Amino acid sequence: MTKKRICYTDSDGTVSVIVPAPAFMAKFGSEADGLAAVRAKSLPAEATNVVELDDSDIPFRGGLRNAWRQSGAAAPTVDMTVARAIKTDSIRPERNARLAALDIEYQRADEASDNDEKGKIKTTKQELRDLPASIQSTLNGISSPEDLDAYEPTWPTKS
Amino acid sequence: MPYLGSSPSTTPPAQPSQGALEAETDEDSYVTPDLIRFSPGVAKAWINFTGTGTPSVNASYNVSSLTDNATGDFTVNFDDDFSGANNYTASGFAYNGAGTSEVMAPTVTTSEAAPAAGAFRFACVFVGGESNSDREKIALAFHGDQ
Repeated sequence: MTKKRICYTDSDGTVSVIVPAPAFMAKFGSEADGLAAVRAKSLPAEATNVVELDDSDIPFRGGLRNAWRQSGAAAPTVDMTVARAIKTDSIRPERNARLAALDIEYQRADEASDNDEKGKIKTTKQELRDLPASIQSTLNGISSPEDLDAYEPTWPTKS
Repeated sequence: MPYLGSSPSTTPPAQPSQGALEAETDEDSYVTPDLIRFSPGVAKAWINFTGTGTPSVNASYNVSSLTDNATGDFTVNFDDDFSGANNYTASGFAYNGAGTSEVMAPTVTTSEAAPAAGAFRFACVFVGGESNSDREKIALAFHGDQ
C-alpha cells in the first residue's frame, strides 16, 4: 500500500491532499506510474504548490485541518493564526448552549423576584459573552497545534 | 434420457454488448465477469475510508483516489467515469466510533460542489451540527450508468 500523498494549494489558498486508492495503484507496474495516473485523474488545473509527500509528512489534523497552509511546493504546516481563530470558533457552540441555559435560570429568578440571583446570572452571562476575547492571550501563548487543539477554556460559573 | 430443453437452439448463447446488458432484455446471452459491472443494479464504484488523522482508503472499487479538501470535506475520484453528472446516485454512512452520542447523518448531507461524471465531492455534517466535521469511518457506494 502506497504511503504517498499528492498535496496542493487550491485557488482559495486552502490545502488539499490526494490519497491514492491502493486497488487503483495495484493496476500499475510501478508507484511512479500509479501516481502519474492519479494526478491525471484528480489534480485540478488550478492547483499550485503540487508536491508528492509521504503520509508521515502530513501535519497534525485534530480540529485544525482547515489551518493547513503551504509555502511553496513543500509539506503543509499548521498556520497558528488561522488555527487560533478556528479554536475560538469551536468553543462558541458550547458557549451559546451555556448562555441559553442561563436564560432559563434568569427567568426563574425573575419570577421569584430574586434580584441577587439575577445579578449573579447577569455577571456570568457577560463573562461567557466575553470568553472568546478573554481567551485570546492564552491561545496566543500556545505554540503547538496539538496543545491548541486540546485546549479547553475555564468556563465561567455562577458564584 | 437427459433433458435437452424444450426448444434446443442451433447456436450457442452469445456474450451481450454493454448496451444489451444495460437494457436487461436479451435473455439468450450469458454475462462474463468483465461485463457484470454494466448491469443497472450493480454498484459502479464504492469506497470505505478513514476520515480522521491522516485519511486513508481502506477498500474501494473503481476509485482512483480520495481528495481530502478540508475538515469533513472530501472528493471521491472515479477510475472509469460515469456517462454524465446526472446519471448516478450516491449513498453511504459515516461513523465516529463507539461511545459517542452523536446522531449521524446516514447519507451525504451537503454537497460542496456539483457532482461531476468523474468525481463526487461531499461534506459530512452530523444531524444537529452546524459545520462540517471529520468522521472515523466513511463509506459510499455509487450506482448509475457508465
